[in-house]
Amino acid sequence: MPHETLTRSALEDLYLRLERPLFNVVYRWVWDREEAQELVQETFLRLWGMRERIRIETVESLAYRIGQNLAANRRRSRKLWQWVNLGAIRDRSIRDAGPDELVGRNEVSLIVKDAIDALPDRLRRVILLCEYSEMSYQEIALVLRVPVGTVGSRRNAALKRLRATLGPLLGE
Amino acid sequence: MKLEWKQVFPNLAPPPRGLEKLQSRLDREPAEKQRLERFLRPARWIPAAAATGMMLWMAVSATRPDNNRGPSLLDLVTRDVENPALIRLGLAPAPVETVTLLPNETHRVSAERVGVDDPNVVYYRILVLPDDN
Repeated sequence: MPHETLTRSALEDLYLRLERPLFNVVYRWVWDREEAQELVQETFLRLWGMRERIRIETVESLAYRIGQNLAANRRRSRKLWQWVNLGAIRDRSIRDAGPDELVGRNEVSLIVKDAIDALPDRLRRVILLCEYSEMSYQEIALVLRVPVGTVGSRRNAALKRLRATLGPLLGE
Repeated sequence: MKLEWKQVFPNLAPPPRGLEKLQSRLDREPAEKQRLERFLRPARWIPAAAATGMMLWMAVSATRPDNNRGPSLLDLVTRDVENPALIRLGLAPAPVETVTLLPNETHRVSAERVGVDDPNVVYYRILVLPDDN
């Protein structure tokens, strides 16, 4: 059965709707605003490239899946780069720190960043989608291709870890 | 210092002009794609050229005498066999040996082993070949 193709205006509407939540999700992988925006845009370019093959009703979950995968890959390659060239990265982070990074250097932000960074990928994917995407567990399960129950259990596991790390600061 | 839960996951605003940047990239994409296709177009020839080259090489090497090529089946069958029938049919080379006929005098000869019934008898037919000189 022929399905509706993603048009340019539909893609732009989708961008306006998803830009902010997807940016927030991706940002928690790369911790760089410009890079996060670039990854969000790359996500939409990928969607546009595959517009003939995607269904309109699943395009939103596909956007989150592509965005998180791109961000996870970027983070992984950056870690590898840091491993092979640690000194250069350290120098760059001090010399070329942008305003966002400087803002991120306040104590709370650093503690939160470290706590989120310490989450395993599978927990991070769930907690970020739960916090920012406004999707239901069913929709998140579709994005991550896991059972609905797994979404709930992973979210609880992520929250437990964050509370264990941030508990004293949260007054819990 | 107390931390509120909303500070753990603050809702940040993305950098401005995101849609304009995306539109610009979407407009650029077809031109870039065409450039990439133009760049990659010669690459389509490479497999065909490689296949043609390989076929030519195989055809030439099949017709070219190759000293390094292994013995044929016929060579293997007739090797070291001094069978007169094969020699007569031209399927086996006549053994060429140097035989002393007279003291202090040698000639190139063709020695053809002739089959006999008695296993204790070895019988050769000798042909003296003209000297190349």
